[in-house]
Amino acid sequence: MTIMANFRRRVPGPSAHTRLKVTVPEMLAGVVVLSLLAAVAFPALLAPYNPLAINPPDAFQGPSLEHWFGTDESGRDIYSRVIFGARPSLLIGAAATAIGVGLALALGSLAGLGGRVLDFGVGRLLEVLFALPGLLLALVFIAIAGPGVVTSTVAVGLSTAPGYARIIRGQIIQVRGSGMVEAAVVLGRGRAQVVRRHLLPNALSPVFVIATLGLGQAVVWAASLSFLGLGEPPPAAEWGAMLAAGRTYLTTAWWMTFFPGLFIVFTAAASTVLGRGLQRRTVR
Amino acid sequence: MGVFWRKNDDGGHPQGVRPGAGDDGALSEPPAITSGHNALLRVDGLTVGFGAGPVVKDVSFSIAAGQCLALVGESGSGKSVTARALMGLAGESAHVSADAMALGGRSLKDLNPRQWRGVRGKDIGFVLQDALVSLDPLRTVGREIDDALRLRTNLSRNDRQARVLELLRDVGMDDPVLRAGQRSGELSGGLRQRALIASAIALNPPLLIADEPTTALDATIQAQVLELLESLRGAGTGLLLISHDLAVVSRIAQQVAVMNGGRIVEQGPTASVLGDPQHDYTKRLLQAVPSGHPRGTRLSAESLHVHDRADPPRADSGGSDAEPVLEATNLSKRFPTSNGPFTAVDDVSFTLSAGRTLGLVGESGSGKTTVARMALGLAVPDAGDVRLFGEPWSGISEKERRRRRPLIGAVYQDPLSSFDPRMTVEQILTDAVSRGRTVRAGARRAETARLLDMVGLPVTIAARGPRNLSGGQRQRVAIARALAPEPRIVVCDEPASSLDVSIQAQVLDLLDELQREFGLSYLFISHDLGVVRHMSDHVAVMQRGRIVEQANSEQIFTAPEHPYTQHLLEASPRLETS
Amino acid sequence: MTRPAGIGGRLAAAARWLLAKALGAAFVLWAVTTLIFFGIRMIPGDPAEAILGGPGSQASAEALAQVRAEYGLDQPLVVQYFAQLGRLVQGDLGNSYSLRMPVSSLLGEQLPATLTLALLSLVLAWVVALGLATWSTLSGRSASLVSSGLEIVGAAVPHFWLASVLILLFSINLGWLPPVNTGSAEGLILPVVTLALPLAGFLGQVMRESMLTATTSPFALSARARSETEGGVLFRHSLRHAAIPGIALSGWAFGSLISGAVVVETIFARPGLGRTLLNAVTLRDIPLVTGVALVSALAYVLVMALSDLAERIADPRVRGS
Repeated sequence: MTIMANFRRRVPGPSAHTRLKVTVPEMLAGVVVLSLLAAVAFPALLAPYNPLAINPPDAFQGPSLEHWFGTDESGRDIYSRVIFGARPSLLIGAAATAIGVGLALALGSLAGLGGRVLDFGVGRLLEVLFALPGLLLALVFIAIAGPGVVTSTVAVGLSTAPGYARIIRGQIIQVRGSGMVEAAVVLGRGRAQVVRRHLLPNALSPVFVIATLGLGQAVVWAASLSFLGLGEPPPAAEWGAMLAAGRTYLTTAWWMTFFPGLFIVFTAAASTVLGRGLQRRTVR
Repeated sequence: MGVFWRKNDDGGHPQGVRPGAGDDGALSEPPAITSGHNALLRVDGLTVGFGAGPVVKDVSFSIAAGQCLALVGESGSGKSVTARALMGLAGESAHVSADAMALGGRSLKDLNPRQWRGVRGKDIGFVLQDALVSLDPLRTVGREIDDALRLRTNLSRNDRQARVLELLRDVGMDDPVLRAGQRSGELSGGLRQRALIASAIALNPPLLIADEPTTALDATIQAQVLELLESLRGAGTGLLLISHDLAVVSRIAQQVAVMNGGRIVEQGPTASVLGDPQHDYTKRLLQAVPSGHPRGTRLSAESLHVHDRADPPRADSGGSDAEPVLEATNLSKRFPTSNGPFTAVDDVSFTLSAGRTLGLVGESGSGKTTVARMALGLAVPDAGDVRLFGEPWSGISEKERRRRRPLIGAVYQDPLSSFDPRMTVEQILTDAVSRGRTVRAGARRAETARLLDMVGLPVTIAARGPRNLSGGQRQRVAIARALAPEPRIVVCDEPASSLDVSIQAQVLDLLDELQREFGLSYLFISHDLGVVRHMSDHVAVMQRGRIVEQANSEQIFTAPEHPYTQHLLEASPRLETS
Repeated sequence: MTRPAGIGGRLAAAARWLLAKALGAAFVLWAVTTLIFFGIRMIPGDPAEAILGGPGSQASAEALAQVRAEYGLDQPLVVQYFAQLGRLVQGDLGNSYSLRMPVSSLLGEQLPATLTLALLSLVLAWVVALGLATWSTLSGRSASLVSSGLEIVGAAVPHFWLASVLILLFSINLGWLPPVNTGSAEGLILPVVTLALPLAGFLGQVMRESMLTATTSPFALSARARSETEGGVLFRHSLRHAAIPGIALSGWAFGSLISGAVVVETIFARPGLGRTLLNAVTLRDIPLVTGVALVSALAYVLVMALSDLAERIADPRVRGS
């Protein structure tokens, strides 16, 4: 304790000012997120064409002023499809994250607050889920429940849950043993009051951050499942499904694959940058 | 004078001391003590800045071989930056300039990186604070010491190995072969610091810079490390000691330079600077050291406490018939470890009387904090019991205890971790008063203002979060929170240990004033004998979980009976002011 | 290393550690089997019909009955469950519905390909991540910004897109490397790079941070005060500090590689566990799905134990706990 106190005095951390200053990558990420949100809310304003209207004579056109991102095998405008694809792609990612965080909240709080037996039980369950990392758990779930948008969304949520749950449990345990909880007990606070006033708010504030960080990953995984043919089926303007459709024509029409994928990269990178920015500002 | 001090404290005059101001004008240009030609290190007009304004200004001093100069000051005074500048390690962003900077006739001005590397280790050795982080935790101590030999000598591997063992022996390691193979994390604090010193003196540098070399150590270990430094100095090494601790300085330094706000405000032979300080800042610093100041005298220059009326007299301090408020009987506490149970507290009994302070003193790991936790009802004793105002306290359920919790409060060493980081000062304080119920906004504000006023803080800080307070302010808020439920007893666990000495003085003074005003009883825990002596009526000395001696304060400090107490008193550096 | 504990004590500790890991692995295998077994039976649908090609196949009642008898599906649920556990103990993973072959021999053929792919990718990811971390630590602020940008983008790139872009670039435009598996070592390059780059992004972020912490730490200052060069600080101190979180994360990283292998093996038409799993999932071949899940869970548990062990060797601070 003394050691740390002395040491910290000597080497000051970043000042509040530098901690709060918005960096260039954060500004870029902010622009990306705002544009994506605009595409989610008003796709018709941003997209010049109907994403589903086929126009066979225009098939397989490369990027041009008329079709910024080119056209697909049925002559549909890729740019319009990417814009319209933001809504399903991001909604699936957000829903999967919500499912994952929700499950994790239940499991993590159960483990962190429910006593030794529950902690042990949840710990073993998480160990099993961790043994099927990433897409494997999602694939096993789909094998059982069958393919489709809903099951693939739930599957992605399920496979992100163990990671979140472990963070939440650790956070609760850390706050539980902290000086602030002890101080509250000395002031005569009951267990319920301590949990409600200090434990939950402080343990759950990082959840927002990890959900932001995880959103991009969820979008990538959901798109992966669509790409593998287990999520949204191809004619839909969903990014993963568009990539799956483009895969067949990779040698002749690279733009069908390139642009939807680029948007997935933008989304995931922006969510990472913003999540880390939040993390830096809420660090204790 | 007092107003002047306050202004400095508020940051109004970042320079700290105005050169040539009134009575201390004569000292703004301290005369060089050691004449230029026989000095080992001579620094003249050293100035170091990091972009915005210099943090070290026009610093001049010199050190002769076999002499120790102590650079004394509080955090932010520029003493560590000065030390790093002497090694060319102030950092890339640092701007270093000096009229002269020479080591044994060789100039250290404007060296290129290669030349600096030639100086480091070979001409100047450097010992940092806390070896746990100053030695690489992943490498063995032997390899860390070997580094300098490998880089700067042509010795064979075997010769280097032999030299490492010899160095470890020289710094007083019991089993050099074993120690050379261990990592810093596997060593105790004292051994670790010795190993770090060994790595710094591997090439026999004529000058050793030690930056707070004993700060995190217990008194007895500190004494041993100081002895080691002393013996190096005796062997002819020049020593630049950086310290905030005047007691340590008085023990080994021949010369003292006092730094404040980046300047040396006073320097000269140790006895005269500490015995007859001329500069105002030095005087204040000396006054703030609690050891040697009898109980009840003020440590800080003036009261920051807003109440103007005279302090009420202390509750009758003579008789021993004062009402017992907290009684511990035969307390024991064990903790399970991988090597079987560890007895943290063993058969400890004491009584705290109304309006008095019981000091609990001991080195780290002696069980002080476990005793405090049991007194607070946070840990349940394995044997024995605690009674609060004659009624059971330790043996009852938390539910029953909760009703009587307002009677006993606590102040911790690290106030920051005891605050909810999401709450403002106002929320923290009203939360403590309201016992969890909602309070009207008006009452909340009034109550916050009253509590802040009580601990001498302006009401303007009410809206701030605890992170945005200084260390001293945080501890005051912690004290205000502890007193909010109007307790009769306060357990203070190292309440001022991580604060600078002048801030520590203010906090200790505040605790003292509050005790008189409200008739509080303190269970006061500290590793610092000076602080305990200054604060306590009665003292209990703990060693390895047991109380080895307890008696009234005067008796413990003037006529200790137990050998451990005697040893502790001997080891703890005391500021001898004539 | 001289340590107080004797050889006997350390052997006993090692045996305890090994036993704990083995029990943990057995538990994970049992739990995965059980979850899939009961999970599939909570979903409406007839397994016998699935074996014969799904509801669309219009299988006759006799055919269904025959399949039920063949796979023991006419037995009570509990009997089926314990029969499966009993077979699992003997290493028998049952027969694949779709390929009509023992699952264990199928997996035996596929496992080496995936392991090779994953391990090569892990090595490449490590090299790239450490390289980026070292470069940005040595070259200052702008390099640090560049590599942090590369890491973030790298970690954000989905495998399937990266694979497509690499194929476009190196196979279609430049014609340097085959776009699909040819069985040659050349055919491994693109899949390994595809798997390694995103992982390198993740690892690089962590390694760069701990390397930076190490180079600015008091022990690095002490080393400089002993006349150590910046390069010496890097190689003798910072590099090991950067490696430790990488080692600790390697178990997780291996898992993410196995997961990524599903996509990469599919795109590059490589044999392996991932593609087998995807086919099994598409055909709802439950014994094969269970088999792949068990094998990859076992591999994951093993790698986790190894990375735990490696961390203990590399970092004396975790040894005590």
